[in-house]
Amino acid sequence: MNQSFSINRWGLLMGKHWSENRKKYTLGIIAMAALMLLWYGFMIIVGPGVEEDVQGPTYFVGLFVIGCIYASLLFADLADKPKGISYLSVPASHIEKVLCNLFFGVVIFFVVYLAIFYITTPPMLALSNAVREARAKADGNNFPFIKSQLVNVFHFSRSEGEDLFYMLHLGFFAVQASFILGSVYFTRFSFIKTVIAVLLVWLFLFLFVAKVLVPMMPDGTHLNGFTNWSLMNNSEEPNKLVMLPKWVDTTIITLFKFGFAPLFWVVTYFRLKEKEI
Amino acid sequence: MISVSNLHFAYKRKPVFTGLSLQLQPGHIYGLLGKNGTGKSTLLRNISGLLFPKQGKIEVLGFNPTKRQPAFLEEVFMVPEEFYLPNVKMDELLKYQAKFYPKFSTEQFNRYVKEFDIPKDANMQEMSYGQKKKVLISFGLASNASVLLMDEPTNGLDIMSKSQFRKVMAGALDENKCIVISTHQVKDLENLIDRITIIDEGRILFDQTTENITRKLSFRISFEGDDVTNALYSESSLKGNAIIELNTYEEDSKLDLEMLYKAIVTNKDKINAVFNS
Repeated sequence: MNQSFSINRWGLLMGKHWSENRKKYTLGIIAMAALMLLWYGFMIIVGPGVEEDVQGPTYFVGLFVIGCIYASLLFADLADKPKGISYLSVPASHIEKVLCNLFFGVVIFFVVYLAIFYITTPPMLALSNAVREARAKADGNNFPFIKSQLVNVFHFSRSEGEDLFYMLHLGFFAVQASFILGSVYFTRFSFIKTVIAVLLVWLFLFLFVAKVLVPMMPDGTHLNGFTNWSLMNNSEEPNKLVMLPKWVDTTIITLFKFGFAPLFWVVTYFRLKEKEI
Repeated sequence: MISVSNLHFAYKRKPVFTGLSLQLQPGHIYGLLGKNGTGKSTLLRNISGLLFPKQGKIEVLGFNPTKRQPAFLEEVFMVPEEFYLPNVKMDELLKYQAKFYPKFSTEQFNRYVKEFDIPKDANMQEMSYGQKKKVLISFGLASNASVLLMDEPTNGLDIMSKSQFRKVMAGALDENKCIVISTHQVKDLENLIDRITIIDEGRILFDQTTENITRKLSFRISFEGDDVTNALYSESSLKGNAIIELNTYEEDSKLDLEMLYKAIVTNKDKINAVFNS
């Protein structure tokens, strides 16, 4: 049998993962749904209700927070010696183990979270609309009542250019992937350590650009993208714009949009391969 | 079957092995003895691919353990001192884990579990530490892996269970299997192991078959002062003086593993000289 990947072995691994974690996952799903219902209930009682401007942030904040916490627990077994030994000793390849965790942590989590959102939101939205309408009538407001609509989390209607919700999803998968990597790298307090590590990386990049790259450039500023530099000109001549070829810009943006998550998944695989317990 | 050559291993700056070499063959139960912290568990984890040598080479059934390939993991089963079993029922454990081991025998597993007096429908959550350990030992034996590594398997077992363990182990060996048992509870392994390897400070202090030991050494109780003076090792007991002496006339005597261990640790040169002559 293939020593790198076998669909049969991967299926066995998924069955094992599910049999060992299904109680935990069921409780997690109930907790997520309850949390969302409580939040909406809170917003109906003291806030603006379940408006479009509440649904979108609720969805994305929940996605980022819960998704990253779960991601930081994906390889938590490795932090515990007995569990780690058991996990690494299962006769499956490292790639099968990583793909199994990614399947549950990325694909299944996203589908389940989306389902919870679209199962809990409509009834609470209906309740919110009913409460708001009743309140409006009680206040003697005779304007026609405009009901809030269910948000499409894949399309932000007020976006100009790139769709905000689309970009947030891409950002989520990249951030989540960094937490998955963190769960292999850090044996204890992986969530907190990953937050600190990500912030430090961003701080380093920011300082590198601000203190190293920008001083190397002639006077000017970035303009519309990574590869356009507008030269400041004190004379009366018009400003000059230095542009690298469009494909360079496109490549960098594509890498930022789609590159981080797969990159972190691959690093996770290599980190797991060299893991010792 | 297992070849360890010039193994160097260290935890950060604390060296454990500095050039350890060892050959283990199928058809034997090896007893790996040594004081706490001498590297018995570390050696087993190096053999099972959970730790990587800093220098030197380990080969198990032609595999490099550090790669942890599925075909290797199918053939090497580790019963660690600190182990983990998921909180599932026994039939679920079989359903989801046994399939990873192509040579797994459910019939054997049921037989071992019965010999260990484990209720078959019990959930792991309801079991005591000792019962769980016996399930893991049964699973390891039933996996029919060619190499079975056991780290302090009798720790946490009561007197009856230790006796069951010896009985089960005695019937489990065949000519294709190599069983390595690491322990400091030497009494538990008497009559079970057929080769004794004692490790101290990262080196092999002693490595002989039990047959060779009983052929060259005699273990008995003596009341004669001269016997004690001439003995390779002696210690007083309530029954008289327990002594180890040269088995000049090749008489049958019962190997006292604990006494032999103490003799080697206190005066290895004297004992090894007997086997080198």
